[in-house]
Amino acid sequence: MLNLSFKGKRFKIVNKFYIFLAISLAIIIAGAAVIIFKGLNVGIDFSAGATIEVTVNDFSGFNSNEFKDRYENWLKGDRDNDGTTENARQFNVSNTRISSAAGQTTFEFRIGSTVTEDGKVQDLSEIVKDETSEYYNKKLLVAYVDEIKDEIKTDIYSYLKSTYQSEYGEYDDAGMDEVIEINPHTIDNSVMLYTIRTAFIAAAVAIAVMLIYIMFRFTWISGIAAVLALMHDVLVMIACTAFFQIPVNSVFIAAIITIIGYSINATIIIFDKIREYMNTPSFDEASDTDLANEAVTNTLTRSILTTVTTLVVIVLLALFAPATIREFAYPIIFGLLAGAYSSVLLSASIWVKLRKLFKQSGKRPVGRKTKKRAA
Amino acid sequence: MSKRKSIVLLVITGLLIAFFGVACFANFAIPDGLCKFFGAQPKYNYVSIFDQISKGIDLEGGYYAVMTPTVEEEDQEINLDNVISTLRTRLDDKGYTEATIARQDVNSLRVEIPDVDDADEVLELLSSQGKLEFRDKNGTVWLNGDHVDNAYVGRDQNGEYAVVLNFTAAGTSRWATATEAVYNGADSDKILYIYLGDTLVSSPTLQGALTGSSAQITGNFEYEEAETLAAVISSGALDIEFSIGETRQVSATLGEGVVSNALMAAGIGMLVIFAILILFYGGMGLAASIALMIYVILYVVILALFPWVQLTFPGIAGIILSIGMAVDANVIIFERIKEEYAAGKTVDNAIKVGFKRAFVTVFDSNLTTILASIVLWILASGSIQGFAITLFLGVIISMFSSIVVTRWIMKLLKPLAKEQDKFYNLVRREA
Repeated sequence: MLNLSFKGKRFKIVNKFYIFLAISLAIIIAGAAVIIFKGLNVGIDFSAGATIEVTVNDFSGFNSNEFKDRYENWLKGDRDNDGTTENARQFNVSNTRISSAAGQTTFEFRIGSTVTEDGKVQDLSEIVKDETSEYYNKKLLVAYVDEIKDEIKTDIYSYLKSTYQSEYGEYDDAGMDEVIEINPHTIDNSVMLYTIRTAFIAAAVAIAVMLIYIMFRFTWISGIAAVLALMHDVLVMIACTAFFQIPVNSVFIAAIITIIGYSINATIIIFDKIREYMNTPSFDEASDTDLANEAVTNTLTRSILTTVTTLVVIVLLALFAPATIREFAYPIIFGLLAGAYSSVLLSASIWVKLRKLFKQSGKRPVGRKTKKRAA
Repeated sequence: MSKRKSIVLLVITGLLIAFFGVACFANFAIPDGLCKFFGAQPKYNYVSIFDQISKGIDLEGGYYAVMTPTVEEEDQEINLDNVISTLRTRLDDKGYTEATIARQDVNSLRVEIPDVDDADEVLELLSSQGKLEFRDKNGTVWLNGDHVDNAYVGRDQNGEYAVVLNFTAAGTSRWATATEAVYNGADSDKILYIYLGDTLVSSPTLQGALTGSSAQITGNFEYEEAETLAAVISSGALDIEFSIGETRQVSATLGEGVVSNALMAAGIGMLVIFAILILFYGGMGLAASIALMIYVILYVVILALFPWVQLTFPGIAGIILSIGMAVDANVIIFERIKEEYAAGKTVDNAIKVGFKRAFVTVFDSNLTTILASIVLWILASGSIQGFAITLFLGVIISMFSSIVVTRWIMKLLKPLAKEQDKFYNLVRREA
């Protein structure tokens, strides 16, 4: 059996606070630079537009990259695959997502929000608002996208039948329907933006409630330190997401909320330890820095084991899952690592610095002496 | 507790975990003999409790559409409750009884329907405003949807599908007046124009003035079309016009892939967690591992019991995090026990004091998460809400399992170990 114990050691974490802070700030600033110069890989959820999702049963010899290129070009206007664009509707296709699961490959072709027809550029969402358009009466963008779907479907069927004859040659269209699924998808960002707005308000209120709780159970300085650590985690998470250009979509918002709900725990465990030491007579002479270093060292085993066990599950999820869920797992992994980093290396130090700033260093809880020594 | 009693109780616990574990996750065909014995139909397939948890369409596949009113908010007092009940009727009539309609925005509705084959029909069903009008050639409205009591699919004299309308009492007399006027009107073309919204559905030429309490709308319909039309007419018109901005059909296979992969990841992850816990905490880790199994079973059963808890993508994250928190609570407790033992307490005392002291820590850290999840549950919308609910339930169950269940299992394990300190991987602090 193993023993992971740091008893008898005392890591001087507070003394190296500025080094740890500098590392975090470097990551956050670098992330900000990536966002400014390259931008986040914003998923289609945030902009109005449409996607066409094609799911094909995998079979031997299927070349998914060739398929992707062919139909990206098709949507860009090259209908007969000869390298030139026809005078047809042309879409701005970008960031096609390919994911494989359960013996099928899914392509998500993202049609941008504009369409070019006969040299005229038109906003996709404006098509249904244009009174002269035949789609106006239906008021449905999806009716428009449906038409594209039908067109591309005909082409996909004939392409697959002719290219992979042994596999698809014998199917009629009904047979093809069994092995190929084509789903159009339209996005109206107004509802998405509403979801994000409520998510942010909810997250802000949740943070406020946690802050009040910590102030009530610990001290107001602990509360502020915990929330600062939490904000650090979210910023690092966003920075890493920018580095790796992981798509930012509705699921990313959920990932941030996930970390907000979770990462505060680790910090609380450390503050709980500090609170306990403050009520222990043998620590009466200890300085804030000593208390913080001691608390971080003595909770280190827990910090490591808990982070590792949670990471194990989420990393396994990322390994096994199809692309959509992986995009969700990555930011959570970043958030968990950032949370472990901030709670161990930053939170207690922030507490020490804040106490110094507000001239409370060395202060002990009022009325401690009368209390029984308890946790 | 005697050794014998503890073995018996452990075996019973093990059997119960095995039984419920199978009940939660295994799908299998029940042998015909057993079906007969319980008086059930033969070829009965057992569906696992996990599969009975209601899942969002991101996991189960299906179709969703977001409907937004086209009128400006200030222009009209919008009564979405009426709209919801009208849409509900339409969906039920069409057989989509599992569909859900939820407010997504102040004014927007999100309709989710699992298992949709024909997305176009659904769109028609939802987007049709459903204002039925019988007009003459000058556009005078003689009857409208309010005069119709109900509608269903029937067949016309040629055997084609048609929609049969039954009029209300007022409708019946209006019908007689209307056909009389259209048939005998001075400059009439004897044609009755039947409109649904702005669309001309049918324009029959009258052969005479008609009486009676029912009428037929014909138009070479496919069955599906006639069914949709009947559902729309029966439900009545929507008070407001809607546009459908966002739609998505999610392939069921993709969702199944996500769920089975997530289950596999969670399963392997649990095994790794068990290994880590036992490696570091010996008998305590074993007790925690058994408690974690009980936790998973409890969680699955509770998710299945509450049909309003829908499992979605972010919900899976909520579950994973609560597994993490269950482990966390145990680690905190075990560390405390180790500390107390190192400081010189006996094993029994260390365990007792460890649980008691660690409780405060676990309580504080979990309560912040519970508070956060309650706030998100109340204030957030859509999938974030689903995440909040699974996290909330998960944390509460995890507190129960890591504090109460782990302790109980430790009591059961205790008589089996000869050397308690080694069994629990406890060491004294070196002097």
